[in-house]
Formats: sequence, structure tokens, C-alpha cells
Amino acid sequence: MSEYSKHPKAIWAIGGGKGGTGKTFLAANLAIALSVERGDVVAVDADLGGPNLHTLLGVRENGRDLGDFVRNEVTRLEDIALPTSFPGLRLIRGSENTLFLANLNHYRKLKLIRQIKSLPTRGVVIDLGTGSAYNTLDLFLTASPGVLVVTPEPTAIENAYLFLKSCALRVLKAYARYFGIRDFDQKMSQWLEYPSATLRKFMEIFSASDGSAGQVLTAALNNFKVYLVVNKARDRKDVHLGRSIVDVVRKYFLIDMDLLGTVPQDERVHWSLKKFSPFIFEHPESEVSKAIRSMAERLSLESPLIKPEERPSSQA
Amino acid sequence: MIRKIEEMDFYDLLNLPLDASPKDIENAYLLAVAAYHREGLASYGGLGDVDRRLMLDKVEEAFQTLRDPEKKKAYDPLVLPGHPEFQQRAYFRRSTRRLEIEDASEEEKLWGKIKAVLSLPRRRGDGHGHREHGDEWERERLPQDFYYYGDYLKKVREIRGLSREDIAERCGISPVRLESLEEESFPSPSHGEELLEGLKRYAKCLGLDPENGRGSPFSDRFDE
Repeated sequence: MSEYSKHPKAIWAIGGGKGGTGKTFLAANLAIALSVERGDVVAVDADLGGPNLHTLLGVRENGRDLGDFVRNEVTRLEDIALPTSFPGLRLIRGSENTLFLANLNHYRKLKLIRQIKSLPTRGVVIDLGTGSAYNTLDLFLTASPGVLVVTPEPTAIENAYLFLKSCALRVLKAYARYFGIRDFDQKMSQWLEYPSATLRKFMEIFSASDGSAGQVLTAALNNFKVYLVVNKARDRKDVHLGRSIVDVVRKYFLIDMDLLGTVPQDERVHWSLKKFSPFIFEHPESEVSKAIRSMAERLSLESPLIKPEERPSSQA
Repeated sequence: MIRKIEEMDFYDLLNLPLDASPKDIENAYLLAVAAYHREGLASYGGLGDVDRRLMLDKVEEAFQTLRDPEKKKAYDPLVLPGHPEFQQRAYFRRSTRRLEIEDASEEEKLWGKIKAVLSLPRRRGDGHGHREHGDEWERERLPQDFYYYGDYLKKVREIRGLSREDIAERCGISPVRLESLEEESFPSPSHGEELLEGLKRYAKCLGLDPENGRGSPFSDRFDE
């Protein structure tokens, strides 16, 4: 048994539906903060449309990327993990090849997910792209927990709800198929015809018609853990906004959401981007960096590393 | 079985612990109104108008019940047994509608001690499980101080069906000034105190505790 296989690995996926909310910014800086916490972290750029995590991490050299893995030019995902200038952090670059998306069929996606789960590291940060495509949703659902990023704008929040709803449907469908719950797809399709109907309402009606199946599916939603980050917050009302979104999600989506943190707006982010230098490295004492370190600490604490000497001996 | 929103108890509805203070109750109320108002950003794209209205009606009912000590006292025994953290070990006297330990002498302050133990913050995963809508740890982190944002007061006014003119007449604040309070459109930080005093007066007109507000609204901004 290798050293890493003894450690429970944590996978965090950063998603959110809308572009421009700061998913990649958060993924890059969280990955650095988590690599300090855990000693060995791999950041995976799974933005299938426009990868640029390498830019935010200051990696300018070209090398192997996810496209090579998907095309079977490389067998093991860990072989394309590039070193970064941050000790303990490696990067798997996204593919800029426009054919990459077309090549990521169901089989290859499963292979990618399987290999992400078995990466020899103490933590994986997945940076996801915009939208609610199945590939993006499935990568988000691979994580435990997923981190949803919003900005205090109606468009970002609207897309975040769409993203969550799509994730919830994916979870429910998978459970319904696994437990052989009959008529689920049909009832779900009927419900989807009324976009204003909430997931809670659907579950209320479904549970009334099939109590035991309703219990299974409600438990599935309750076990779907998501963290929320409000990025580019300008005042305390934006902190309240995060709490309120969590309340809406718990009550109407029945998903186990918590507020991970609020990242204040900082104009210096723009300048750090221009310098190809991660913000947390450029401005370690800023409120933004403190907020990100605090999030990393909480995420890491919730997926503790167990040292081999602390594990119960198999000889005992 | 999933309870309908209409069937949720007022504490779950407002994400409040059982021993919430009047200030906690008011803060939770303001937060809920800001979230579920038709202009509330937090529910934009997630809820339709019917669901928002239903929630706001329940939130208003919850607030009007929990803020009133007499109504709260009558309401609490109806919902306390439904809360897993409330392990009832005392007899409930139907005649007085009080728990036996509530009738204990003031010197013993037993009830206060028990409430303090019951309301200890707990983290998820500590073996106690968690409730459907938020655990004690989450609730513990709600801000103790709350600022009366003009925007929040405007939403409270609107969900109660009051016009600016109604408030102007009731409080003696001109509609124009009310509008600037709601928009918080004061020119500079030097007007912070003036704005805060105006907002406190506005809050009092809405039946909220004017001392609940704090500081200058300008100091609330991250970039100031």
C-alpha cells in the first residue's frame, strides 16, 4: 500500500454556472492555500470551454494537458501533473484544443473521473467551466463538497440556481435508477414543464404518492453537500446575501448547503492577473487572502489527513 | 416525510434557536424579508412570486408571534417537543401552560441554566445529527449586531402593504426624506450619523427596536 492510498483524499470542485464570478480565481488561490494546509495538492483545470487556471497560477510553460489524456496519448492522469512554483501544488492543465469537448464522451468522462479519484495526492481542486452541461455537473458531483461561487448580481444568482437544480436532478435520477424507483423519469418530466415549481414542491408531491421512494430521494438531496462562496462582496449586505441564499437552497432545494465564506471586492485582483502572479501570493495580508485561507482551513479540517502512525494497526 | 413550508414551525422558518433573544428574532425577520421580497436578490431565479408571497406571509406571522412575549409563551409549548434538541424532562402543566421547572423559584434560576445548556452550539457531525433547516452551529454565527439598511426597511414597509405616504403620516418624516433613507442616498460619510438616526426613527415606525441598529452605514462597506 502506497503512502497516499492510506490517506483519505479530499476532492473540491469549484463551479457556479455563470462566467465571470471568479471561479478560476478562487480555484487558483484556494489550491495554493490548500497546498499549504495539506502539503500535496493537485489542481485540475476542467474548464472544458476555456481553460486558464495555468495563467492564474503563473504557469506559462506548455506541456501535456487533459486533451492528451482524453485522446489516450497518456495513460495515467498523474503523468501530466506539472509542477508549479508553489511547493506542494501541481497542475493538470486544461486543453485548449477545440476538439477536446467532442472527444470527452461518456466512457472517457468516466475514465477521467475515476483517475481524478485515484490521483496520488492529499487533495484535488477541480476548476469547472461555465454552464450546466452534463460533463460539468458530473465533475462537480464527483467532489465532496462542491463549492458554488456567486457574485452579488441577479444573473449570477439565477445561473447558480439553475446549476444547483441541474445537479439535484442528476442526483435524483441516479438514485432513482439505482433503487429502481418506477415512474420517476415520467413524473420528473411532468414537473419540469412548470419551471416555477420548486424542487421541494415536487418532492412533497412525489413523497405523498410513494413514501419510501420519497424518503430515499430526500435523503439523497440532503446528503448532497455544497458550499457557497459570495465573491466580490462590497458591503455587509452581501454577507447577508450568502446566508439568505443558503436559506433558500435548504428550504426549497432540500440540499445541504453551508456558507463557506465571503470574499470582498478588491481592485488589486486585476493587477495581480496582469502580473501573472496569484493574488494570495502577491497580497498575503489582504482581506481577500485572509478569507481564502480561512476557507481552505475549514475545507481541510473537514477532510482530515490521518497520519499512518495514528491509524489502528492491522496486526492488533 | 417532507413538511410543507406552511407547516414549518416559526423557529425553523426563521432559522432561530429556541432561546432566541428579541434582537435575534428581529434580525432573522429582517434577513428573511430581504431574501424573499420580490426584489430580494437571494431568491431571484430560485422562487416564483407565489412561493415568495407564501413565505413572506409566514415570516410576518412568525415575527408577530415570536416578538410578542405573551404570544411566544403560548406558542412555544406547541412546538418545543418537535425539536430534537429539546429533550423534555419536566412536566407540562396544562393549567398554567408552563413547564413545572418554569415555576421554580427565581433564586434557583434553573430554567435559565437548562436553556443555556440546550442552546450550546453544536457542529454537524458531532454525533447529534442535524435538523432539516440549519444546525445550531450555523445559527450561532448569525450577527448579533444588525444594521437597519434602508433597503431592508423599504422591503418591510412594502410587504406590509404600506406606502411611503402612510409612513410619512405616521412618523412625521417627509416622503422625499423617506426615499433618501430607503436608498441611503446621503452624500458622504459625514452624514452617517444623520442617516443612522433617520433609519432608527423609520425602524421605530415599523414597530422595530430602534436600538438594534449600529454604527454608520458607511463603515459597513469593505472598501472604506
